[in-house]
Amino acid sequence: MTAIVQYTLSGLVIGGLYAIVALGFYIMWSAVRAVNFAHGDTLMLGSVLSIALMWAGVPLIVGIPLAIAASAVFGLLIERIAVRPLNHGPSSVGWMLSTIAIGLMLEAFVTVTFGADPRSLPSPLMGTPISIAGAGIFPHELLVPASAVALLALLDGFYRSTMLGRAMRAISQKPVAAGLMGIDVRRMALISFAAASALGAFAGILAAPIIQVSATMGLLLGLKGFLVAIIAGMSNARGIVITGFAYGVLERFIEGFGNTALREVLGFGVMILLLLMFPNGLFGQREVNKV
Amino acid sequence: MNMTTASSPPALLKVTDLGVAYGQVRAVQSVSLEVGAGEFVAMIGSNGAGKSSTMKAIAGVLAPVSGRVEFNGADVTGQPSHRLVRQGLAMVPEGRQVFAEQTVEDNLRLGAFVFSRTPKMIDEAVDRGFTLFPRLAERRAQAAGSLSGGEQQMLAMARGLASRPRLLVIDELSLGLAPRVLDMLFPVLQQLNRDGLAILLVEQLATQALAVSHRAYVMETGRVTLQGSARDLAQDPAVRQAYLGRH
Amino acid sequence: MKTTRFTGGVVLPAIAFAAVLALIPALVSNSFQLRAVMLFLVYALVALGLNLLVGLVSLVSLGQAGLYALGAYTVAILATKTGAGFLPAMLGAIAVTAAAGVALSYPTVRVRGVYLAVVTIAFGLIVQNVAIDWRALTGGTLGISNVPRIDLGTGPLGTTGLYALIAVTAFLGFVLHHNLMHSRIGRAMRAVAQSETASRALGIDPTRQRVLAFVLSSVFAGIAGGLYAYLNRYVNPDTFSFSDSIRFLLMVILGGAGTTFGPLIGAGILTWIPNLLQAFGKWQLFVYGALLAGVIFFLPKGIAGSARDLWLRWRRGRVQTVRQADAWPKPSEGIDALLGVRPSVRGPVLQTRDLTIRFGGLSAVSRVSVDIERATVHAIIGPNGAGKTTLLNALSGFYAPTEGRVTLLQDEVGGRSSVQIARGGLTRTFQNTELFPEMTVEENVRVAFHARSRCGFVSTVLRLPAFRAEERLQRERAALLLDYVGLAAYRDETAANLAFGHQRRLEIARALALSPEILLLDEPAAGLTHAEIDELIALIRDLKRLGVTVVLVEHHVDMIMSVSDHVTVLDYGEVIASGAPGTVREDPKVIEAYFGASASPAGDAA
Repeated sequence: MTAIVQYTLSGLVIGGLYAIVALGFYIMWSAVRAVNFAHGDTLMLGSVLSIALMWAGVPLIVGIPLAIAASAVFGLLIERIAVRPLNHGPSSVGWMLSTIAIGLMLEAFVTVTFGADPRSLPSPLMGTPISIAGAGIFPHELLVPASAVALLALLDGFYRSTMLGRAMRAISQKPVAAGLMGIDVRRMALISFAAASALGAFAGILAAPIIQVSATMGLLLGLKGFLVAIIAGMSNARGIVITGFAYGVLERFIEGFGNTALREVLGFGVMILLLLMFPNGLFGQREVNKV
Repeated sequence: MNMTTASSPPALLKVTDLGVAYGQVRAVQSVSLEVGAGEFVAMIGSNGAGKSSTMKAIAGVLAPVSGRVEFNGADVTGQPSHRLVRQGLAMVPEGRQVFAEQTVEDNLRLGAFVFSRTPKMIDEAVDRGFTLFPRLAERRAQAAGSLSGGEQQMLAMARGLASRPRLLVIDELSLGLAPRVLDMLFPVLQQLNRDGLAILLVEQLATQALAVSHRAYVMETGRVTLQGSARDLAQDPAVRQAYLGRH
Repeated sequence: MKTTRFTGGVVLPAIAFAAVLALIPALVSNSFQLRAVMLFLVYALVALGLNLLVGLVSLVSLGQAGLYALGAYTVAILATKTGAGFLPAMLGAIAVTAAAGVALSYPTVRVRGVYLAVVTIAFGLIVQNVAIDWRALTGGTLGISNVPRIDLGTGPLGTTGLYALIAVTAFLGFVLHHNLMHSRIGRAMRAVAQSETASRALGIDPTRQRVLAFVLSSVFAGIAGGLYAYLNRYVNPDTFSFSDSIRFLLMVILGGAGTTFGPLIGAGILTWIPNLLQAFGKWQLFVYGALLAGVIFFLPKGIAGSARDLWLRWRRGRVQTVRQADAWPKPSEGIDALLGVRPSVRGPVLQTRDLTIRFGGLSAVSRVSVDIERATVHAIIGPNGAGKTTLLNALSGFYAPTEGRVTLLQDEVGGRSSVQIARGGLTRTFQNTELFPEMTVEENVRVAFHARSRCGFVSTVLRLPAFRAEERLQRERAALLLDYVGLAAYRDETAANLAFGHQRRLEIARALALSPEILLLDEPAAGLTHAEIDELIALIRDLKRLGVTVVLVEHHVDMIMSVSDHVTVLDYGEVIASGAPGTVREDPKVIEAYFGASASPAGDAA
């Protein structure tokens, strides 16, 4: 019984992280129907920068916003350099390869400058675990699922009731019409990538006290975040968060009763099957459009 | 103001020798046209004649490969559409292009995007849209993609008007619409025009287009082949033969 | 000039490649270098296979290392645990990877582009983690060591013997890769990638082409993996990571996707580059990523692709020919023989009864019953949005009827796929002219012969006499058709570079290549000049003379009146009139719906 509670709790923590990563993909996809495939590396950038700034003597309260801002600029550059010139319609994958390439460069750069050993960020909330039904969890860990839900509410409100939010969704649905409304489509695309990257960096910083920070931490997190986003159906933020939690919990149970390798095998296997059964996503609706 | 045209009022829109190409394929050879302030101008012609491409180049959706577009006395050739809207040139695109996943009201708000800094003007734009087409008010919270074709065209028109343009370019108003819907939309256009809006209407239904407009251009294979008052063109034997289905 | 431009320059380099392979053992000084060459050949095999996928059907796999691993592990396990010899072990690897290829190709039915890429990444990670986890079978992270040497019955093979085996395999792989690429199968695969819609209208099944490409590319990777196991005599999970998949893809893109020599060049560079990168010390990986980025930004067609473009531009600069399209149609005896229809059945060739098509709750076509008679021109007209194109899509199998029947040549075809209907004698053109834009004019026509070809896979990749005879025949027929539509001078031009009116002609010539009994033309006159429309009318009349039935959706009133035998008028998806052109034209309902509501002179209504 304790084990089940424990797996569920820690599953919600890692699942919350997947959900936040997936929301970043959702923001980019909603705007330009393409993503930074190395979004996992943006998350890594956030963690690494916050730790590096801390080492440099910058207080966290300054270092964290700095790390997030720097990652947002990284996102801008990715959109401008690697995505926009190569995004030609739904079947083009040039942007995927170019962003993977930049991700590789970033990983290599961080390995050299930051070192290959995993580190972590201290958090005052990682002192004493609290006990829930016999299972132990650090207060900081609870921040992750809580943030995922809070971010969901925030994003929902942003897309629903701000002009910027409406415009950021409009540009991918009908780019020409959006331009005719006075929306600068390119600027919106830049903003969406900056926002998604800032969110990714935030996720990285949030996770830095819990998981091991290293140059290669982004690869699997990014991939799983993307899988979560497409399994849920790229157009539904609520579905994405639910799927993220579900995937995290599933993983922890497999890992608990099996091992890490089995976790990847079954986890990815289930995700592929779901994608094949629901190509529009579990929560996606078919495009409503009459001609 | 140009001395030679001092006698006539300056055109709101003046297009000179406009050319449009898609890669190697030339869609518009050379088109010149004018729309005066408050004027209602139609452009007719068969499918593939280059009407839509001309409109897209005027509204900044496509960059022309040659020629010149002047709006309100300023050279705006090649300016992107999102800047032209702020200068008062709006377009209702072919096929309506509503934001299908968003609500009717959000579509209207997006139409007023140029007023982003003044929420009051956005609310006013939404109200004006709902006054113009009360049907839309009934459907305000519905996803735009779930509207019927006619309702979508109303939404596209209301959305185009939300930025308070001086010139509204409409590309293929009738596309896929029933005559009874058109019977409702054409009078709305005439009313908007009487209230001072200049309109440039591209239309395949030549009869209706010539009935509501002041002047018209006929386009064929990338060129303007005929122009004149709508009344004269409606009587022109060549036009009647080719586009009005009468001999 | 008789050889096509692709096979042209390939024989000499192929011989050179074979000669280099044969001389290598004498050229390299030690077995360490020979092993490096063998590793290059193994990588080249993976890259050649991946090129079939990326270069022909335009699908991206980022899980090729997984297939490579399956091949290597299958061989290692069979050889160490069951003592299987070389051939049984390799056959095992082929079987396993072929099965994996089929499984991997299944997703392409539903998802493509980035979604498919993610599925392949996940597949690669699954394979790698199974290798880590299934210790009893795979030895876990330690892997499997002591893979025995190959013994072909003459004792264990030494380094030179192994080299000979790998070199021969790689060379055969290269030849197969080339022959497939420049054959009807290769053309069909490229066609599917460039326009799925047009492929289906020509009777090419896109799913089949994709499955075939996936299976072939998997088997190439599997064979390479098996050879790797024998070469290295030790396999472990580290060799088959995601970054290895990226490296395989980079080989193809760097060398030039869709080119014959690109994969060899790419594999060569990426096998030797680690030695070069050593100079960068710990910055190796960074330089590697920068290389990938550089290729995607500055050399998207790869080395071989860019070189080919330069060569073509240089040649075009030297040979300045003024080309002109001829007047068309240009009938000839050859065309009469090729296109002339020998009636197969009596009565209407195409019939619908109460055909209804609904999208959601909306009827786009409702209760339409038409009879289309043999060797007539049957026009379908109506206002925009009346359901004409929907009807055409239903007749050609692109939409399944919601209700009602469609009978083609007395065969009930409602619900059959467009591929089957095209093979059954009905094909079409499209409103927006669906050519295969990156293929030459001649290739566009030759693709259409695919469905009628009799040569199988084996005789195609081995270039047996039957294959050569068929290729010759098809080239002659393509020449006839291009001559018929007056485009003979443009044979080697890329289709996308044709003028608008010429693209229309090419699309019609391509449809005619199927020798259809029924041809559907969707707004063929749109955007044409008056002179071009007159030629189009002449073509339709000539087709009628040849016994081809033409169904015409058109707006151009003059054309309809002068060319059609029968006119059906649609409005709101329903037939409101049907009959001879003269009668229909006077029908008050038609005048109201189509020719304009107000019969009064237009100006008066304002």
